[in-house]
Amino acid sequence: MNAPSPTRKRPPVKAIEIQGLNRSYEVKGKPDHIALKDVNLTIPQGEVHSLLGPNGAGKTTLCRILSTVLLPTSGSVRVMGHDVAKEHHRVKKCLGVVFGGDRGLYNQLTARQNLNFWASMYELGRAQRRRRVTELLDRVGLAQRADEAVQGFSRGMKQRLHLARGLVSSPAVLILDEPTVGMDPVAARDFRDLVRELRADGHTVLMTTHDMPEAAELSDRVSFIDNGELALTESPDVIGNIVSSQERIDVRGMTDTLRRRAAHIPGVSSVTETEPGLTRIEAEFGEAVRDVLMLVIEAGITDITRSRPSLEEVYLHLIGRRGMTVAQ
Amino acid sequence: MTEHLTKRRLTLLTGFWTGFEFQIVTMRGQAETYFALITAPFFALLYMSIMEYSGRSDLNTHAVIAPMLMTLWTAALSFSGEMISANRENGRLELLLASPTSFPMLVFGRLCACMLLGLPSFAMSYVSAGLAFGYWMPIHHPGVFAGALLLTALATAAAATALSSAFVLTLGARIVQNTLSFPVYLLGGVIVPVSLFPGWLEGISRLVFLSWSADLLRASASPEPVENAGLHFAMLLLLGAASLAFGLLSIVWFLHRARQLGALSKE
Ligand SMILES: Nc1ncnc2c1ncn2[C@@H]1O[C@H](COP(=O)(O)OP(=O)(O)O)[C@@H](O)[C@H]1O
Ligand SMILES: [Mg+2]
Repeated sequence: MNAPSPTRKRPPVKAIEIQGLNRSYEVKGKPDHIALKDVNLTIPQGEVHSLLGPNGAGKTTLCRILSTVLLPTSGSVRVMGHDVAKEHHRVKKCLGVVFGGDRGLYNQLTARQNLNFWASMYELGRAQRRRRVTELLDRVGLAQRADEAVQGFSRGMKQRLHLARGLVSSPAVLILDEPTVGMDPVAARDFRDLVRELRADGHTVLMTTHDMPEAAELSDRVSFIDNGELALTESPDVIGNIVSSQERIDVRGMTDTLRRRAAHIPGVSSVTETEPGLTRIEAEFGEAVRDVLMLVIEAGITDITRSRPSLEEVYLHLIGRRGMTVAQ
Repeated sequence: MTEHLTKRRLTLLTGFWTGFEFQIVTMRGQAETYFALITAPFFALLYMSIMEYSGRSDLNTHAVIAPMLMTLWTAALSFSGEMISANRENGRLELLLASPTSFPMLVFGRLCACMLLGLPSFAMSYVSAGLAFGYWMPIHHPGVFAGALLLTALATAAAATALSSAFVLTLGARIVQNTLSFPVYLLGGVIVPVSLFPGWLEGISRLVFLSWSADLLRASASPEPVENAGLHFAMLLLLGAASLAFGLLSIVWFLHRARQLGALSKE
């Protein structure tokens, strides 16, 4: 009673804390498949964090472990300070999960019945449930169709219902595994607005995606995962800059000489033959791109495709830069 | 500590009621529900005609009660598989397990709600025996009848909960499940009273809770006092509770194993 009250405030608990996480899957007749290798990641409360990585990188595996439906092979994973293996009940209470796609709903039931069911799975009382379900249907724009069976819904509507489902308990931490896969542009824009609202309300969001502009636009930080390894965590500006400063030019029918000349143009970062007869040139937006185009057009080539760099390219770019920083 | 236990108990109850309510909502809108009921009057007519023409009208009660017990067990079997395998195929199993409510209790709650099908099923076989054969089954001991019906329904749901655990890891569990319907009807004394069995078979069938229910339900329709009612109720309760405990624990165990293996979703 007379003990002096602590003057130093305890640091707030981390929303997500992953240390030395490994996960492997048993495969019959083969050595175990390693899906996550020594993953370390800390996400403070209130952060929107994107996990970028190609198919098979281990994103879903990580989301499953966080949502307690898969156990770590080794390492420690905590959500709001609770261990996912030992205190899974506590973890579940502060977590909302949305696995991508349009599966996972009860198709014969209406949107409202679906949400009502999940609200009681998250232990909301009857009155609270009614209020929350109505509010969520409104929020994801399904109020008009709330009492129709889900089987008549479009993919986008089902995805929105899924999001509402994940929000039913107003969880402190929300895990979204590829939430926008297959969404039409309008739905994707609404989704972005929703994530911004969630952020403003103080929710922590961990979202996986392979859409870089989306990740760059929405997140406080972005991590890259490839082959089960979490490579690096960056601020989205860095990625946004690469995406908007780099351009990819695919040219058909370049000769070796032409390729060598292109490689010497300042601002060209790579020239590779991706398949016989097809050359891919990575160049800085602006002058370098113009010089490359001039070069090939003067050589009489017209089969040219321009595009933004892919996830892998940005990733390699970042790794390359990091490598140089370390070497200095 | 006590607070934690109270919360835990609340979670179990939430699971049960959520499942119960959900199943009623689902069944109302499903054609399968009504199909499950269709067989009852036909079985009643079939059994009634066998009893009548073989001169065993003393077994008429049997003919009226058997179809209901069959409906209960068939519904329990088919829904218990659906509970887990359909949820897994649809990607819902992981979502259900990621929520704080007790999943085994959710399954038990859903199966208990399925047992409500027993009531319309009984009504239909009762009415069809009455209309077609003029046999309106008397119920001389309504208390015993109601009690036996309630415990039978709970024990059936409990047994189905235990069976459903097999679906967590084994995708081929449906075959096992299909083979389980006929032997259980037979051993449970649903088709022929177990007292007509040879002694050794009767011994085995006493391990099947339905054999105790069938006896009680039949006895409640006869004017004589119900013999050994206490023993019958106790056995029904015991076998039901044992299946429930076994069912809940084995679901928990299989789920833990599935979390280790990564077997909760179909890739
Ligand atoms: N249940 C499983 N059993 C065996 N291997 C799996 C299982 N789930 C995922 N994998 C494998 O683990 C790797 C990572 O998968 P996943 O986490 O789904 O990647 P992502 O979501 O990034 O596409 C993949 O090679 C995948 O084939
Ligand atoms: Mg994935």
